[in-house]
Amino acid sequence: MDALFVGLGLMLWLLAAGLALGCRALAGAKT
Amino acid sequence: MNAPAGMLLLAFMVLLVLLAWPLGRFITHVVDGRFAFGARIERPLYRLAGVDETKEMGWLQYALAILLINGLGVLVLYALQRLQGGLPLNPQGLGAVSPDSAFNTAVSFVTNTNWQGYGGETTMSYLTQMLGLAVQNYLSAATGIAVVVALIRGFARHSAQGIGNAWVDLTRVTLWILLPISIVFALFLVQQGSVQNFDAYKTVKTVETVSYQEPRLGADGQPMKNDKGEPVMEDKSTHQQTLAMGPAASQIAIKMLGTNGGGFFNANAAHPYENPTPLANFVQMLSIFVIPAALCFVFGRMVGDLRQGWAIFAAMALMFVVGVIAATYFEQQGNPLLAAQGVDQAASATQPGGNMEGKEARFGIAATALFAAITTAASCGAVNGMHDSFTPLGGAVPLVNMQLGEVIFGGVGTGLYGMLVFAIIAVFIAGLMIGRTPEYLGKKIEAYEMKMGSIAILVTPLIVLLGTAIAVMSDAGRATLGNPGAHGFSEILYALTSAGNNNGSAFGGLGANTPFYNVLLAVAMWFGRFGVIVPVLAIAGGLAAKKRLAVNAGTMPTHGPLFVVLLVGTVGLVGLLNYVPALALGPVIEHLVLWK
Repeated sequence: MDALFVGLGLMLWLLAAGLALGCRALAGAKT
Repeated sequence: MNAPAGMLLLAFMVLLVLLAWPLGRFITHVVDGRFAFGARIERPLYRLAGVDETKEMGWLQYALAILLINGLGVLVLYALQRLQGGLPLNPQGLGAVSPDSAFNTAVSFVTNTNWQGYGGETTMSYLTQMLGLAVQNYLSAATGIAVVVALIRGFARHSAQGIGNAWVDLTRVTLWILLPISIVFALFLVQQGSVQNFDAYKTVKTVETVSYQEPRLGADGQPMKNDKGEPVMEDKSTHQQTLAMGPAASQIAIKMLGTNGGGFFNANAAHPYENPTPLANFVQMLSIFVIPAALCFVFGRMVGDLRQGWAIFAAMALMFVVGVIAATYFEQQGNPLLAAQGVDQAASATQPGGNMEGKEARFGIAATALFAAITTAASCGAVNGMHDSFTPLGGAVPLVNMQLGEVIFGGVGTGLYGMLVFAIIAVFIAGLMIGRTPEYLGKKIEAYEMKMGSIAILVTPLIVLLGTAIAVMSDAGRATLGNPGAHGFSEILYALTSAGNNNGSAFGGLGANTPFYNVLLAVAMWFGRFGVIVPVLAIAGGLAAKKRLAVNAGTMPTHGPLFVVLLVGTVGLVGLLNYVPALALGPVIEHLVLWK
């Protein structure tokens, strides 16, 4: 059970980091 | 709204300005690195952590640093809850928190939401409260302030690549703003009657034997229901009472100051050890707003035009006062069903009148309605009364305050950066109307800023409405509802609104400590926080790199009443319209049914 929630937490973290990289890519696309 | 309630509101606003003004000056001093005494103490800490305090970060690096420390926070807080049974400072011998509740609580405190599916005194050891929850109270508050300072630097700087150093900002805000005020505030609360000890709980004999009923719990810990769907009650009586103890005052101080809101005890600020006196109640209300209000003046100072800060403050204050007047008015109207039974609900020398259900007799309607408006306008979430027991439209005020995006003063930092995103959208709309390239504080607002602003504005309604839809459509979501019909819908909508906007207050009436809600609300809290922080930092980076344009005859002034009205209109239209259909299904229908 603990592994499940640690995994879920990691997934949420990666999605947030992915959003940051996506926003960075959008900035790059503009310039 | 009667005269005492009006005077309470007036006193609150006057004292707020008097406190926020000097605090804003000091915060500017600290975040600008001009606090020389602090720098001497910080330097060895940076050396120890391997941080180069002179190195500026770009927005992406800043965002990843914020994500890193918050991600580690979730992991540590989760582990602490799961292992607390074998750790010290646990005189009650409380066992490990269940995995789903521990996960929900870890995300909740890291994201400054402080939604609590658990009861503090029956779940958390003193070590977990202090080393886990209280530490995150500081870190999450510091995160909000650091992010808004980074955004303000974006406006203030020109042709720059950096927006500050996340580690330095977090350290300075924690050490020189949050900690000192919290220490003084905690001592005040102890003086007023809050507990601060490591004692085991005390069992005392009550004056008389008390008989009561309580729901019988099933194996899953949820109330059992009979064939009609009503909870099965059992009779009980006792002549004993357990008094919960613990290091409460130190946690309450930062809980309020950092707009966290997570109670040390289950009853939160309605508990006499957590909110002992009417004076403590008033000071707690002030402490919720003081940093968000001060940050308006920090904004004005850092961009070099205090009028800009006053304009933001005025927009927030205007919306706040309207909310307080509405909540107080509806609560003072009382309940028409009771009036039909001949119950006297008029205010008099012997009773406060109106709807007193779910309110502390110590605080009455005015101080409860004001507290409710403050705690939901700011993303605090502490409660001193039961929002579930408010009249439908009285309860809609806290709901709407949150749905506007927590920008009416809002959380520490989060309120101001949310409002600045709305300001960017307001100047964009004004620019469209007059056919000019929009600019705010000399910075051109272009496609990239609008894309990031749109993400920041739309992510929370998406989470809230999608989450509510999932909950009302699923058996697991409806299973723990306390009320049927429109009120039940409001309970679910409130829970998702509170989580998605990182408020954390509970309407009540919804059994949320289930695996379904623990996971759903945790996901809502996480994206409600970082789905906004990331695009806000992207805006900061984009603005910092731009040149600052000089003011000319065509520049729209953003410091006057016209802009304040435009800003309030934008928040109302863009923020609230997303929720109108949902509000119609909840509090609006309930009001029409009650007052038919």
